[in-house]
Amino acid sequence: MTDDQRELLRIENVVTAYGRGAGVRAVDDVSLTLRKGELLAVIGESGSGKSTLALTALRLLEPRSGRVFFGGEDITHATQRALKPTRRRMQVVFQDPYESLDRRFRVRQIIEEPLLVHGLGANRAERLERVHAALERTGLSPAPLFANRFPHQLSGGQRQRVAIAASLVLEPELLIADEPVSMLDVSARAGVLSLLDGLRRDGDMAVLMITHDLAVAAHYADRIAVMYLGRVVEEGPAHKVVRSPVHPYTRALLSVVPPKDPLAPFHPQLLEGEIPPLTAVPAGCRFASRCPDVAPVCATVDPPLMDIGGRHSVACTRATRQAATPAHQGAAE
Amino acid sequence: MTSAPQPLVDARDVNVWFDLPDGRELHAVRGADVRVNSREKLGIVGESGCGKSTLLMALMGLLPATASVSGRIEVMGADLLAGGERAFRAHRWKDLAIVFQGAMNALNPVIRVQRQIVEALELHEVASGMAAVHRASDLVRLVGLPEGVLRKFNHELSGGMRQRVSLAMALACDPRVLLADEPTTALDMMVAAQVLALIDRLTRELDLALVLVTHDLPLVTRTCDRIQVMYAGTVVESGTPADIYHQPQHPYTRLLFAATADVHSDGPDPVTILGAPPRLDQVVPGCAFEPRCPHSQARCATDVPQPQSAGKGRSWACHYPGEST
Repeated sequence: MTDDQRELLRIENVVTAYGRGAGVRAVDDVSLTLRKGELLAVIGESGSGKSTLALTALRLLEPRSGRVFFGGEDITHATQRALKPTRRRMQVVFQDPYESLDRRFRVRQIIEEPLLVHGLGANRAERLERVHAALERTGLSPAPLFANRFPHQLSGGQRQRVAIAASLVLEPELLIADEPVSMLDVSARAGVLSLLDGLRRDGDMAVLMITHDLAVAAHYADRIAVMYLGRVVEEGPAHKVVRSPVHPYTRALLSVVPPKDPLAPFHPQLLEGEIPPLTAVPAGCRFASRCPDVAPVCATVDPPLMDIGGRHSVACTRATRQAATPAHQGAAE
Repeated sequence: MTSAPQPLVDARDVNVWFDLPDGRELHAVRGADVRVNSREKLGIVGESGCGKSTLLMALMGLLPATASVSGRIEVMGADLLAGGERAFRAHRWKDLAIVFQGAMNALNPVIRVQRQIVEALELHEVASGMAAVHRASDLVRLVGLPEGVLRKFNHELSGGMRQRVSLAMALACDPRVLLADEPTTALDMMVAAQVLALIDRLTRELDLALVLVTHDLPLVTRTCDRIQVMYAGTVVESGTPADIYHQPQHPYTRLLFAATADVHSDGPDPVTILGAPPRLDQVVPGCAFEPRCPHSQARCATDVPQPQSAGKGRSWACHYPGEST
């Protein structure tokens, strides 16, 4: 039962599509759970559906089917008006701190704005106090100094801290960070990442981080979900996914990231071609057309995500045959 | 006595200044050397604003009119800075070719790939008419694309295909040196790996030398034979990948590695390099890294450290090299 109490966000069999009719299914039958204090990294290439998944979790998009629970409450089809109090509890930080901050506003105004939107803080003095507290929490200290600056007077790392402070000022329970450091220089990345890491360790805040950087995910996340063409193909504890990846796609992705030591062994396993468009999702396993381990069964069987033990799940007919109870016994070779 | 082979590119003490609208000057590249030998793969690594891209543009002679360049830029023995635009034009694309990060912007959106390549071939008098059309097909196949791509427009191609087309165009005039400025940074992981493997294959098959500019340390140390680390317009350390990873002499090199997460091993938490690079529109009196350096001493603030050479392309510019972090 403790697990249920720790649960903050639960996505169940969510399908999110763009366009009319059946539409293009950017997220197709995805289930994920995020607990309080947890950092979940969602890994994927362009077109994998990772950003659509985040927008669905925030309910900035409405899923076609499936359900979204936040703090135990079903928000799948909640109206925008009904969502407003929930919105305060779920905040988002975007990739580009050069675009996401209004350049005409001082830092103080940028961070105060969410308080005004949500009618928090009795008066100006109290709001300013909260603004300063949020700045201090993100390491922008002394806060009064940074509060008076304009975005152009800050470095990229400092701007991203301001964006995080503008979320923190609402004391959210969930922070979704969409590629939070990919626009930053290497020297500033660790600072922003350890800030996010610290925030969820200090409080009960959960972080869902979308990233294409496996090294970042490996180092900071508790759990990693790997997406391919609208599906989660592997999900589990970060060290398991990185050290003993099971899905051929995860294995290939890891293999092409060079180790830091130039003399360490490196055998990149290149996949052919590119992710097919969502308008032409292959039948059977979606990864089969590029899979180095493809078997005849893969052309027909669309493998579900199956638990292989230790909260580690994989969607691969061949890989899960031994480890888990096969879902499609008849189809096995 | 056999003399050392002549380098394909031999640039020494290159300085680049940009005129700012208010009359001041921004000193973007500060006395950098670049030497590229035949078939060598040189990596230039550094963070944004360190001058690495400006240095490449200076080699190509493609800097805007607001820039002034000093030093010596020799390509295949010819002194290009002395020869001016005419000298650069004689070597640009024919000996030195470049691919950029944003292949989206490098290609003309309103003409098909084939005409784009054919135009380049005709402009540089490599081929014309049907010969140019055939050569365009060869180039497209060379970079691993189907010939159907020739009939497409830029917007019909994926990021990886666009980067392959820009590679095909860069190779149109059979250059000796390929300059690549963050060629895979805008691409997805697997596509980036494919393009990098392609560049690697092309350098071998075509006997190309490569200058790879990137901020990605593991990528550059894995791809290149020799690395130059740049900071604030200066080359602060150079050596083989093993040299700079296992025996870094400059504190900035060491910190850059320490700031990089490694997916393959459980190292310590990546570090932040506090502070920011100096403003390049001002004179830096001592070592440019001094304000951020954990080992700086009095002298670092006043004396510019001169590069110390340990032979075989190994050098560093630090008053207190090898201080461990």
